[in-house]
Amino acid sequence: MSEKKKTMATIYIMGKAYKVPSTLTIMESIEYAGYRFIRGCGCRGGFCGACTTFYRIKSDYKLYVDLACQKRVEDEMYIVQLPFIPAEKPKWDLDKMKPTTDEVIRVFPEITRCLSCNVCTEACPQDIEVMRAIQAIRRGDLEDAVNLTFDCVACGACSIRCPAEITHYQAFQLARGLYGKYRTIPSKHLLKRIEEIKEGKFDDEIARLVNTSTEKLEEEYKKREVEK
Amino acid sequence: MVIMVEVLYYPGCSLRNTYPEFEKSTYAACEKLGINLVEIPEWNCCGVVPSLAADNVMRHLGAVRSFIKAQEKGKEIGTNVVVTLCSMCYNVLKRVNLILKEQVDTLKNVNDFIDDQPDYVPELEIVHFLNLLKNVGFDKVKERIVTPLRGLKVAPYYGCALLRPDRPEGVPIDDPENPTVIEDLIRSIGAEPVEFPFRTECCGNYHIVFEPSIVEMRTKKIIGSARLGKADVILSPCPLCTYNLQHGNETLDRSEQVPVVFFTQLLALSLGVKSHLSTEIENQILKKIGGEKFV
Repeated sequence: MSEKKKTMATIYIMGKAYKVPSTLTIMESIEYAGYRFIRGCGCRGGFCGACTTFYRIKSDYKLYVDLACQKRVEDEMYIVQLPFIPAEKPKWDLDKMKPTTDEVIRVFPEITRCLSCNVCTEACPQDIEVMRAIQAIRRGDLEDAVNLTFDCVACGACSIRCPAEITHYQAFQLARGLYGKYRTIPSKHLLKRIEEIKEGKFDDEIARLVNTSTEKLEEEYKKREVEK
Repeated sequence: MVIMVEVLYYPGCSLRNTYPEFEKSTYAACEKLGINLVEIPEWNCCGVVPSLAADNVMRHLGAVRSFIKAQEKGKEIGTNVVVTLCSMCYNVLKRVNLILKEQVDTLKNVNDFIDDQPDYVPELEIVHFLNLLKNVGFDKVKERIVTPLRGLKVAPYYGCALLRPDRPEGVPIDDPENPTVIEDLIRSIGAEPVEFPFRTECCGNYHIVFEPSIVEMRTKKIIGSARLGKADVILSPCPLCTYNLQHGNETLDRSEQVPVVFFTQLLALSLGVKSHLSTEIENQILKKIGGEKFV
């Protein structure tokens, strides 16, 4: 009997209790409980950052963040999903910019409000040292910021927790863009692919996809080769 | 280089990103003076403005995180002295450190909050580069001068962050009413300090962002006062003061402008190392002292 009890976990999805198998991920448990994802599901592979989930565990004051598709449920887990983080995506033109901290601050002046509290780092489901990366930008060390944030999936959990209201993940995108464009050697295969796109190598295929019916696309999608 | 002094060094963001000439001239001068500046690894922004509320500890975390890094590095090289160049960083770091030295409960609060790092043991000493020079000895500086800036009239500008507030005790780097440290430096490099009444007036600080007219009003007075004293250059110890004074210069006629340089730039020039001054200003100075351009 006790063996069986261990295999099930009680979780609270937005306050409502459900008993779910304890082997499931948060995402699977939500589906097990009868919900259907129409947003905030994403890739199911831990890459896209669409299934950001905040939770607490009973008798633990800490607020945790994980990707619902990656984290296994725990008993007495209080769950809410935040599939979208309210933030404007500012536009920038890398061609007209320089790879400097001042340029990043021009687009994201709020990074200068960083209090060094490190709450962003605690919120990161990818274990990125978020504050360290923001401070690296402040120090003028874009390279450090780029290397620290390589695994960022832009889920935005850091930006919800930040008392200085920084949108870290966007600032990192700009830092990586500037660094990639001006400080790294251009990759040959990328240049070749851009040439191919310009020459219209993929135009026919794109046109075919655009003109295919949804049913046919679904069929093709199911038959696709994911891994070779 | 024979190293006489080895200290920890906190650069700060404005200096690093906006005024590399301040830092580069400092490094060049230090090489000559036997001062080894060891940069604190992964220092944080100091927080820029010290919190005026006694219990707003959150504002001090950036400074404390830098102290923790400094404390680790300091153990490695055997020093507890942290040197800053920027007046604003000096002011913030100094005040936060003094608070942590004096208030045991605040220190505990901060250390409890920063649970991802070792505790800060408040044993560091925060020193401005001017006072480091003073401690090394202006006579020692004078011994190493190869191009004395003879005949150059220099207006020593202190601003406020180096001298105020006088509480907690120990913040001002010199007598807040009648400081002399920059004058002493000017004399040691062979130049002549200009007396002018606005040397400890505020430049307008962050009003440059929201109310630049206040900065214009103040810096015009400061520059005008230095010009009346026949100053060839204004010597600034601070990136923000420099920015504001240069903004003031831009609003004046060319004939009324006085070039603003960092104190380490003149120091480097007189030590015969690269000053990182603009060619125009360096030539003006060399012409004034009747010297040759240093190659």
